[in-house]
Amino acid sequence: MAQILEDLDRVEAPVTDSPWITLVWNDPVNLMSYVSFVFRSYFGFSHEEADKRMLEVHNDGRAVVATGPREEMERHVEAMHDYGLWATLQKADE
Amino acid sequence: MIPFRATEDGFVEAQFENEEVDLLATLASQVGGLLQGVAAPSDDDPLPGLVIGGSETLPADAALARLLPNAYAEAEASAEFRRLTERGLAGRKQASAQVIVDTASPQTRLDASAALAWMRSLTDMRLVIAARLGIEDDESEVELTDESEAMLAVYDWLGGIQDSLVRAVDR
Repeated sequence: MAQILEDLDRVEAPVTDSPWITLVWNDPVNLMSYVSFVFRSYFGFSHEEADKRMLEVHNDGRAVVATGPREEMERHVEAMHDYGLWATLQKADE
Repeated sequence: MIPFRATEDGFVEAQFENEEVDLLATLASQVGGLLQGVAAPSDDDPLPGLVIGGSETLPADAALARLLPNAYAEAEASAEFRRLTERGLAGRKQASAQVIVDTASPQTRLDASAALAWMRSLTDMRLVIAARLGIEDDESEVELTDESEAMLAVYDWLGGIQDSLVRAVDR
C-alpha cells in the first residue's frame, strides 16, 4: 500500500490542468429569490444547493459556483453578467 | 399593480396602471439608451448576441460599469475578455430592455422567454438606479432628497415586480 502511494506521488499534474473557478460576488441590489432562481435555472442546482450558495454569497461576500476549464468559466461569467449578477473567474489556487 | 402570477397555460400575467406601463417603458428605454454607446449595432452584424467586440476598460460611468463589469480581477485578462464580449453583452441587455418596451401593458402576459428578458432587464434597471443613488454595498445609506426618495420608491417598486415575477415563473 505504501508503495502504491509513493508511486502516485511521483505523477505530476500537467500545468494546463490547473482548474479555474467562477465566483459570484455579493451585491446590495439582487434579490435573494432571484439569485437562487438563477443558480437553479442556469447551473441546474437543486433548491437546497442553490439556496446554500446564495446564502454563502450573501453572508460571506462571495461563493464559488463552478469549477473547470478556463473557457467554460468564461462562458459562465458572461452568462452571469447577462443576468445582472456580479461574477468573475480566476485560477482555483489564486 | 397586480403582481405577476402563473396561469394554467404556462404564461405569467400582471396588471399595471397606465402610468406604471409608461414608467416601465421609460426606464427600459433609458437602460437601452445608456448601453447604446457600447452596443452600437452596425449593418454588418449578423444577429444581436453574436456580436464580437468591445473596449478594453471598465466604463467610467458607474451604472454602465455595473451593467458591464470586469470578468477578472487582473486588468490585462479583463481587458482581453471585454474586447471580445462587451458589445455582445450590451446588445443582449438592450434586446431584453426592448422586450419590456414591447410587452408592458395594463394586461401584461409573458411567455417563458419574455419573462426571462423581463427578469434580466428589471435587474439592469435596479442596478442603474442603485449606481445613481450610490448604493454600493449592504451598508450603503442613501442621502435623502426629494429626488433620491422618488428614485428609491421606484427601485423598491421594481424589486416588488421582480420578486413576484421570479416566484410566478419558479412556481
